Amino acid sequence: MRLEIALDLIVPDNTAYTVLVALRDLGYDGLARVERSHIFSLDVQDGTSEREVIDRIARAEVLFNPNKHRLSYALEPLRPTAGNGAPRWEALVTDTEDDTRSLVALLAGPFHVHGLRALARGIAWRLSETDGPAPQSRVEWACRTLLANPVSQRYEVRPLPARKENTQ
Amino acid sequence: MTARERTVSDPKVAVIVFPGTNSENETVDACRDAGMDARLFWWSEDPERLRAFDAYVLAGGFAHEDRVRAGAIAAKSPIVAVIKEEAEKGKLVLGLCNGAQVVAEAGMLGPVALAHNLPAHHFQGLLVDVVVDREPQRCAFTDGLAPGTVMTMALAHGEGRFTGAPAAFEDLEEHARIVLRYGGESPNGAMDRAAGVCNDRGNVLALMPHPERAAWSFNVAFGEPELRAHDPNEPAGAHAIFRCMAAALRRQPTPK
Repeated sequence: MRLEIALDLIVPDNTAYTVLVALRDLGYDGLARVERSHIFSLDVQDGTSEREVIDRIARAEVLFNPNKHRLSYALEPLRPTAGNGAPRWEALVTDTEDDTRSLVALLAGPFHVHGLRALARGIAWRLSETDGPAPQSRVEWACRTLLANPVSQRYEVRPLPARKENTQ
Repeated sequence: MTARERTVSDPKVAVIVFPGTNSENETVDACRDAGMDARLFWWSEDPERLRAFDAYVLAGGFAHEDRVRAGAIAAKSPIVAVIKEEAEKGKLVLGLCNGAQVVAEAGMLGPVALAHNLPAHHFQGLLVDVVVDREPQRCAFTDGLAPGTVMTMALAHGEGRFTGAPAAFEDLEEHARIVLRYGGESPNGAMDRAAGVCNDRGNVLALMPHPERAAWSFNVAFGEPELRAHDPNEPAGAHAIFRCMAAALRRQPTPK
């Protein structure tokens, strides 16, 4: 099973605000809002309960801090959010080289996230203009211009996945 | 610091300060002790005034709080655009730690990036040995040093791993652009143990460990017993980077 977790700040996101100002300075006049999520894609042994994994991650407070984060999640393969308006796009930026083995060992060991085999992490960015979501071409431009370093990172612009809010 | 009177003929160096820069004062001191007329230049000053300087040092710290990626926001700023133009004319640019990240993000090194330290993936702070590589004359900031010279420097970063495509690093090796390497194993996972990488022309150096934090005896005497008998304010070890810079500036006329 693959499970994707998104952590959003519930306190003001200074980095997202900096990106908003920087992208406007770089020529994106119509940009009105930038949102950012920390994304963790978990590879979990089949047969493990999705609810249990989320509970353990939330309780561990290693990735997630309840005082400043909101946690939502989706099972992979991801499905786009349903809606009648313009499609919402999300850019997922990841480092081309990463090493999460010690983080996996920490979560699977002392914090009892049973069945966790591997983990990949990245940052998701969502852009909005004054009258709705930014088009895919603008999100790609933002990745090329600022959000992703072409030498050390890769990006994927994808439909915004439908995620369940963790309410427990 | 060593007292030295500045003269009107001293090369003029701008030490760039972004919001979050934290190594500017010791960088100015290191430049002045090497015989350069250094002064702070704030990110909010008129970028055109930068053109009057002979060289630039992008100091260490956390420019714009390292938001998005270390150096990414600063690299898009108008003053870096001017520095890049002046570098293309041949002026010297030294990027130290966060300044190196700005230099890399601004594309002044070609297809080379500074990424998260691996496997640590977090901030590391330690004194490291940095070794001058085989062709120090390749770069203005190492020209005059002997190959194999070991200098202690202060490593203090979380995103300082030089990385790039294997072909890009083969090119760096072929053209001897990795002028400074970590002695022993790379502490941050940098490819080819790269600590300092210069551009093809040799007038821009991105150096991850801080020479300015290990530029006087008092910085390093506790780790190097032979220095305990010296004047603690005497320039030591890594100060050589600034002396090489000053010598290069005195050798060549400033490009206009």
